[in-house]
Amino acid sequence: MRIIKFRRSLNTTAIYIYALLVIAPVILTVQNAFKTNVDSLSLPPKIIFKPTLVTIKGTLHSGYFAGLTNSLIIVLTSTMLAVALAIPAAFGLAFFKYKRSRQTIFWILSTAFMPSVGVVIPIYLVLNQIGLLDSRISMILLYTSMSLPLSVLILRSFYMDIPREVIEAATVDGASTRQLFSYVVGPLSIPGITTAAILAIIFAWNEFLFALMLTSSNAQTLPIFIVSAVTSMSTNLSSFSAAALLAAFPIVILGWISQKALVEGLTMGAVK
Amino acid sequence: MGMQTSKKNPAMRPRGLLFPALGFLVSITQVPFLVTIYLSIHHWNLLKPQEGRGYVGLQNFRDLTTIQPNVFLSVGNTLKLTIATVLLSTLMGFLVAIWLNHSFPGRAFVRTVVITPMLIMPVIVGEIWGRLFLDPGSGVIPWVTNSLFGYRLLPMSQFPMATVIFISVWEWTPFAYLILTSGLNALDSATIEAARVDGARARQVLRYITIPHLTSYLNITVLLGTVLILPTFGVIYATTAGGPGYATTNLSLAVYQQLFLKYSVGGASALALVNVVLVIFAMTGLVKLLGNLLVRNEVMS
Repeated sequence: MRIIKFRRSLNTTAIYIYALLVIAPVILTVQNAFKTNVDSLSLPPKIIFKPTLVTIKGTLHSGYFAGLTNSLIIVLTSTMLAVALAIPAAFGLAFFKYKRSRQTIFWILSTAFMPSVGVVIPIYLVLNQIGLLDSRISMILLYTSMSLPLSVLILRSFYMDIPREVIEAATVDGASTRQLFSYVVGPLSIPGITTAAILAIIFAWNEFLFALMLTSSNAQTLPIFIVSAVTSMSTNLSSFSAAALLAAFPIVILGWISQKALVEGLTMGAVK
Repeated sequence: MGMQTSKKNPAMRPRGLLFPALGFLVSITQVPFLVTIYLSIHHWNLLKPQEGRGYVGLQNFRDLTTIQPNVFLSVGNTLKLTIATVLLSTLMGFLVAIWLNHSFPGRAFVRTVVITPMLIMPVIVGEIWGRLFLDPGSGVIPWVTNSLFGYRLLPMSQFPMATVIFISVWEWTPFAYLILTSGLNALDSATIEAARVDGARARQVLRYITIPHLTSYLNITVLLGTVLILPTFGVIYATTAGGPGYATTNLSLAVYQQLFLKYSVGGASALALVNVVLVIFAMTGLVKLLGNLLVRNEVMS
């Protein structure tokens, strides 16, 4: 018995060490954000140090808020647009029979994985031509198209889980499609909308290639803020860490509290 | 299902439900893709407008074998990075999922913390590893090897591809872990209990019950991982920037270089198409598997 107990606690300790190793880079980054630059450059890394807010304050004043505002506007608007466009499509694909339902689903699935480089060149040329490079509106439309296929498939799979009997009962009682949607399907689809929105927010927040190619200053999102911050402060480790912390933490926390949605969303509801 | 009411209300006609989403997708993803195909068979250099933009047939594709880096190198790098990352992170995710699949103190906390890498934006992942760990001056790793063995290990210049793969595996293991963990959660504990009562050992349970049950989850992990990792860009951009030389330049990065360093629209488009073809290869399997899972309970009426 004692041996088993000992092995158990040994295993648990090993798990803790593994978890610590996995997030060591994150811990070091968070620590650096609260160090002075001199402290952050010392090797071995100072585990115990006098925390300071100087670095974070400095970063806040060097373009972070502009990046944050752009990221929030672009990510949230595109997510809302994507979900708004996805709801009727998912509703249709879940509850009506189309001649090509199957092909449509397969086609949407394949657009979900179209690599950005396959579309970005003409988009860059056109936006350049019409003067909409580095604009929030073009980023919003692009991120909407990026989130839309996943949102349709996620929502559809949630709609499919609504028991047929519920729908039939409502139809027999004479509910119109619109009523069916507003009183029955709509309220039941809130978990699906949440899942789709979380996935869309995470993907759009972290998106880099479109943002790098199509924005520079006006519509600069947080990933691009990181790149420009990094180039301007070259070897300033603590400033980089503060910028990284400020840019990444909202999504890390969102992901932590929505693990179930992550799995359902990533697999488009094929895995629950 | 009888939806007669929808006929009375043209706004809610089933087809009308699909048009906004499909129209949007066609105009923002399909049309640009077709234009990319068009551009790939035309000559167009933004820096040399005097050369014009004529039709050149497959010349851009032929040129891909002579540009720096040539297409074989960037395809090779893309494949190396993708295959190694997918296999290693699936293996790691599998082992960790099984390892953490029992109760221990602080389990919820540990399970939350270990998924952090996949949530951090790739460009930050690259910068964290590049600056805090690998940098010759400020990096922890060169310092550690120097203090222990008197030798400064510089992974980014000595083993660039292995380094990028390592960072990608760090980033993607949580992805595999999450999907496989949800697979383990879906496994009926009564089945395992019954097997245990019948005298099955832990290893036998793993081999004859757990792994067969996880097969479809493993398939999803590998296929989804492949299509998501093939276009990797941010991590490479932020660490090696494709170098040293072109040792870690994958297709995404090569397209970026063609467009923004050489301003060759035709060349970049041709490379982009090569990338899309690779993704389509990987995608056929995925679309079949996921598509069938998704349409499995198609409207019955």
